[in-house]
Amino acid sequence: MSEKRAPLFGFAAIFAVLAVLWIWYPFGTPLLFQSTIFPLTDNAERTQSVYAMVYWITLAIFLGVEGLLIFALFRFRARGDETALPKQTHGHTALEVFWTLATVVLVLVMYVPSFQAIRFHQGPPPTPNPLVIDVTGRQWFWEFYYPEQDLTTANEIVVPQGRTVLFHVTASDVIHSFWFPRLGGKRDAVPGRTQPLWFTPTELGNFHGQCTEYCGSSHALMKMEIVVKPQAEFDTWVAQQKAPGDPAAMAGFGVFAASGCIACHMTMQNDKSVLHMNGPNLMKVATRAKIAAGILDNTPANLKLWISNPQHVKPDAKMNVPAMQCTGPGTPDACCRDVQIGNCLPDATVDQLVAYLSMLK
Amino acid sequence: MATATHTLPQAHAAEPTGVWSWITTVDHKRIGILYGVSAFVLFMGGGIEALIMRLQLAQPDGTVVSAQAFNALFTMHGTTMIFMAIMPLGAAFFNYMVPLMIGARDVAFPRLNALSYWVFLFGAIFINSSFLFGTPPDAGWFAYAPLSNRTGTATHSVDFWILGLQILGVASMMAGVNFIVTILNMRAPGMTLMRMPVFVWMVLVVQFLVVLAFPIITVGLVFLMFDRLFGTNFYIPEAGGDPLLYQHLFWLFGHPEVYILILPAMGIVSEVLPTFSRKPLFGAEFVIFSGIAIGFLGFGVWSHHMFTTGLGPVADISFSFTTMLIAVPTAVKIFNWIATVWGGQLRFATPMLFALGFVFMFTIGGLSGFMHAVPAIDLQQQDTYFIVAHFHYVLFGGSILGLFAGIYYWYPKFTGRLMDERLGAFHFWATLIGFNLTFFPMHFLGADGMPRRIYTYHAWEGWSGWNMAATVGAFIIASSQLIFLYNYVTSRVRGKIAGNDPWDAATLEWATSSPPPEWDFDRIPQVTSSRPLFDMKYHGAPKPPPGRDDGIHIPPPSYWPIIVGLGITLIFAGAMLVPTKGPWLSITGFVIFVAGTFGWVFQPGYGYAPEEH
Amino acid sequence: MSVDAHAEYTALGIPHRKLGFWTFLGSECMFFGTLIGTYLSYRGKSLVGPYPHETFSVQVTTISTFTLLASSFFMVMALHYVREGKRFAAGAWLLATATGGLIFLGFQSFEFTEFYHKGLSLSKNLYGTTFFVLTGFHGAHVSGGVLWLLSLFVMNAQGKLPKEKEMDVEIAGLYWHFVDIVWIIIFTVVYLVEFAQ
Repeated sequence: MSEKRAPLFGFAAIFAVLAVLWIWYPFGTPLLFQSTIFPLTDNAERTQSVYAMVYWITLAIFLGVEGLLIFALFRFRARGDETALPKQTHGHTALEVFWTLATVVLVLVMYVPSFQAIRFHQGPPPTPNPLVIDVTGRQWFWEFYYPEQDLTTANEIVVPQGRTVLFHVTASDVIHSFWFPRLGGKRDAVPGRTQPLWFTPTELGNFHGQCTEYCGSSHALMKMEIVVKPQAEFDTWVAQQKAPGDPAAMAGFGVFAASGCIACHMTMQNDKSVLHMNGPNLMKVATRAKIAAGILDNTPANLKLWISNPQHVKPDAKMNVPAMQCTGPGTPDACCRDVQIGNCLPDATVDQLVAYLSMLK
Repeated sequence: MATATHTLPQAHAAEPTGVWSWITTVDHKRIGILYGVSAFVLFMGGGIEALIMRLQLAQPDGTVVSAQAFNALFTMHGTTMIFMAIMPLGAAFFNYMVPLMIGARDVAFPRLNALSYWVFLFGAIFINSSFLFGTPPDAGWFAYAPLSNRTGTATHSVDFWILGLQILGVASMMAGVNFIVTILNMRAPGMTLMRMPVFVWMVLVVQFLVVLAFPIITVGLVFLMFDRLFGTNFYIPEAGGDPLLYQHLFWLFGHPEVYILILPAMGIVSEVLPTFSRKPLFGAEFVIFSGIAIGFLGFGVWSHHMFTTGLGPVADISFSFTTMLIAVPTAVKIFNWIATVWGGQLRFATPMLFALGFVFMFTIGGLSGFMHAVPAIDLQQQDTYFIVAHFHYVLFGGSILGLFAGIYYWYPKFTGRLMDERLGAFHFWATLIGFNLTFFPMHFLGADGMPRRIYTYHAWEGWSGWNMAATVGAFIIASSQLIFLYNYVTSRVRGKIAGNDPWDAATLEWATSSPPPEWDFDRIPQVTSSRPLFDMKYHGAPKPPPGRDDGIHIPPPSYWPIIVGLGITLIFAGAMLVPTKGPWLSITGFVIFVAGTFGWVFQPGYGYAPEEH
Repeated sequence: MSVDAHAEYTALGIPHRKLGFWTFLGSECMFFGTLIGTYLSYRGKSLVGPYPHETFSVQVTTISTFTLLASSFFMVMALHYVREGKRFAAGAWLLATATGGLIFLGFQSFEFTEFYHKGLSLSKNLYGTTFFVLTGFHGAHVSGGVLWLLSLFVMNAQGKLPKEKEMDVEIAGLYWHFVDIVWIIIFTVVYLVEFAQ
């Protein structure tokens, strides 16, 4: 067996690289849409403080333990000229007791903030009278209901700055998970159960979230957005959402109904009577920044792309107009290649629908 | 050390050859080789599944595979690696090495041993046959209800997964019973439990975990299957059922399962480090007790997989505590391993490189696991790439590196030749570098908010760089395994003859020839310490006299295991056809099973003496 | 079947097959424990009927329970006579044990059909789901045991069950008693508890 030094430098080099990266990350990583280490709320700040403690302690353990190991590899490598066996130490009970107790103490020390954080996160919201939003995950979009305002919307939540939001999270079909990384930890949306999540958004802006429990074909494409506005703008938004629509849009409603969209989507109401339909509520869809659950910008071109062939955008999407709308095989519309896939609507009809939806503000 | 001869020992020449002898073998050594080869082939399959996923994720908006294909790939990758690669690779070592290490001639139930293998192989074939039918499982490797339930999936995809796992579970449980009896009852005279090699101890703990944890998943999956086939309501919220019941049952099994996956590798490392440090395992009793403690505590932490499901503060507080506590015996082991190499004369042969790599990588995986034990942190990390990083550090950086250490360490014993050291070192470094390049950045991706099990992502997320790095690393890992295969195959023919004890080791398997004769030991030795061979070489302990023990019985070969195995497989496989085509396949399987069992029980005569040379 | 005619060496002093069987029974404890635990966790949670107290006839089930209990006694007698080498008595008691099991299964089938006619099925509600699966698996275990006992009966009749083979019968006895104990637990936790309040 050779006693080359090269193997040891390999271990040392990898150790050094990992240590550098471990230290670099909190300081050097860019702020991304779904970063978990740039907290914006009380909930996320609390997580961050516990995480920071655990992060640096585990780094110290890494440096200490691995450093000791690598030192041992250098120090005790066989030099090839040994005449006798090394000391055949079988163990050292006092040492065993020491490092066992030391580990227990370290565990208990780190347990205390963990315990306290559990009680914080799962305790009552910090401010009275939170804004309640009922969240229902569904393959593959999010339905939101504001009981206080009797307002149903989908995929985008608007909330006022400085007021605690209390979500009641559930799902209607399979398990999903509701997560806005910069605002708080995730909560699984489990059919048949509801669980609470609260946070108090203090920064204005748009923030991203994503489903984080595998829920089928388009799990990767089930995103959502939260928009934090000043209180006054929030009130304006609520009023706009509840206000009756532009009468000029009514003309397009006929096409919407005739195309079969009305089986799953409502565009004339957003109170509690239209909760839990198969598709997201579209009454004020033109006010939303994105469509198809946070994955396409809300533009006429994207609306057309989405409506013409939903399964192309989102695999196995359930938006599927019955084949009776199809004008038959051999039509120039690409989506009618297969009557099972895509909304078999003539191009002109799709344009009318896009126009209609673009007027829903 | 290595002898001067160029041919393998004479004792090997009398063993039967040919396919039929392998099909009817009940020899633990052959069964070990069957497990090892099958497991490695499946490991390569699981690796290819990973490479395709990495190609898809290398860039945003990837178009390498469809969403549906990707979802099937991550399901099968996880299922394959856990149940059809790591577990059977472990089983290969349990089979080959445990009887040798305890000074026994075989396991307690040789035909049951063969049956375990055949059921495993048929189960693996069955679940992979789903690809041929175009319906591979795609609900994830833990297949949560309701996604996996009748409401979630319309094809047979999940049926293949459920039934395949049941078949594999039967194989594991039978082996569990077998090895518990073997280890408790068949140790050589003088080998008390505390004189047993640490690897054997870890195997014993693992078998208890198997025997006690697998029945829970059996029931959990029976419930899922019944929901799918017979309209029961176990996980149906509309009838008052609770999807979380599935998670509880799954993880009550699933957490002990991860200790089933890691303890054998820990046992291997506990054998390799002392040999190449030329001193005993430091604190062997403490390492053993830590393994037992991990086994016990492993049943008390399962809901740390469920921190995001809203079990309430009491559950989170309790499970966070028990999970953090399990870090204690784990840390004790790591300290003892470091203390083993401390003060030694370290030789960096390939087995040692892999064993050291295990300690290095597993420690990182343990630290990220510790982070997950804090619910506040876990609520951010759960279901992201941070978790993917954690479990790959413990399962690949831990189990796989440990298993490779075992392959390189014991290859001379089961083939009689040494593997090439330069190729071995190359394999190690390429694997270690590729592994860290693939999985370390995944911690960052998770902290950057990338969920797991997503088939694509957008460029504006900012995840592209680390994903590309991970893909490059994956291809380095894959290429490096080709070096290993080349080394494995060519060393069979060209490797240096190893002799009984090429590493100057301390345990009994090195006291017999390489490879051992069919009856393992010419003389069963009397054991007076935990390092019997070391004592014979260095402390003047008496060596067994030359010649062979009288009355050695070798269980004759049998075709009943493969027949009964086929019956068992068909019973389960046929279940998915019951709603549409009736129970004919299961009933056929049952008939074969019963007939085979009767044939087995009444198989004439067992035992004949080996031929004299 | 014994591995060889020589007494096998055992470090614990317990024959391999007995030790192995106890281990198997340990896994069976986990199996039934999970089934019973699930029944208990779903108890009282059915959204629609029929409900347990509407379907159970504790008098009938008491008879079948007693029969199964008695059959365990018969099993003890059978083992005793195998150990004595008394072939005819052994055979009689083995047959009695198997018959007890068959009577139990008969009562179970009767009960299942009664419940079905009252509207309870696997898919009706949580009670139907958990009850039928739990007792069904237990019944399957009893059936396997009956098959085992009848095989031993036939072997005994052919003179293939001498006193040297008594461990084979003892192990069958372990299984039979285990299945009986599981039933006692099920009877208490599923049936009797409905009549306690």
